[in-house]
Amino acid sequence: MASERDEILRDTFVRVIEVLAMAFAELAELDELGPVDAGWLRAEITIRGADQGTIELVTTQAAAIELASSMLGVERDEIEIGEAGFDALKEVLNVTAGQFLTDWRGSGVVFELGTPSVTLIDADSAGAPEWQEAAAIDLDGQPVLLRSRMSGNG
Amino acid sequence: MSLQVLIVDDSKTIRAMIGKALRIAKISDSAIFEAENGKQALELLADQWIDLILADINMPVMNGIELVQALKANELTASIPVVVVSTEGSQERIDMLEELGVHGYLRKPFQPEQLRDLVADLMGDEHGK
Repeated sequence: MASERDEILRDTFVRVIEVLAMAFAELAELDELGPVDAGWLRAEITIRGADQGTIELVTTQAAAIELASSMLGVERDEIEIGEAGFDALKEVLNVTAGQFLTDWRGSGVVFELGTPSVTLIDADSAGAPEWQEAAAIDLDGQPVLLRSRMSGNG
Repeated sequence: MSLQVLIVDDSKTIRAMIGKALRIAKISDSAIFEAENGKQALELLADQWIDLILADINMPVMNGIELVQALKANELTASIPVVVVSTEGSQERIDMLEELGVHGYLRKPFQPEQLRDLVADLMGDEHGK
């Protein structure tokens, strides 16, 4: 079960992609998400300030292509995963992180966001025990897992 | 002559999205310029007339705050309106941007119409509403 903080993160993500990519996601339980055979991505952004930590997102290449397609207004088959797909996912995480920090701690706290990164991972890594407590989302049939790891005053 | 707008953001996706919003504001493709960071923006401004700058804060090489400081320190660029388009949600940081002389702030994510209205408010109604 996701922590209260990760539930806030999940709600923020759903709201962000609705505006940024006109994509409608549904809250899900991890065991409700269908299996995905190949093509996982892990995105991460660091946070410094009143609290230190990272926000991480795991999803599929198909989801990243869908987000990039919506954000850029081009067909899915025109999206190069290593360029537009990665870039779109980085920006989704960047915007989600910025909004999440306000949702979680309010506008009175100053944070510094790092540069987001995206890496390819295998299915075993995506299903690792550390992700079993993540907040889960169903993005048009594609799984999205989110979690925050914070330390400090928060 | 169309308004000349410079988009400064390290994300190609966001530059494309802002470009799309600017076209809604009746700004032609040929009047939209792009830079990936503050340093590239300053290099472009050395050769290119720009009426409005839309800049992110969090960028590598030279961030948006450093860019605004550099623009204000140069009498040739000090009067160019700058709108910050960022994920930043801290009121303290937004107040600091206002003190630096930023003309507007648009928080990501935004609807294209919000950017159109901001451009219209700053530059005149022929570019929007």
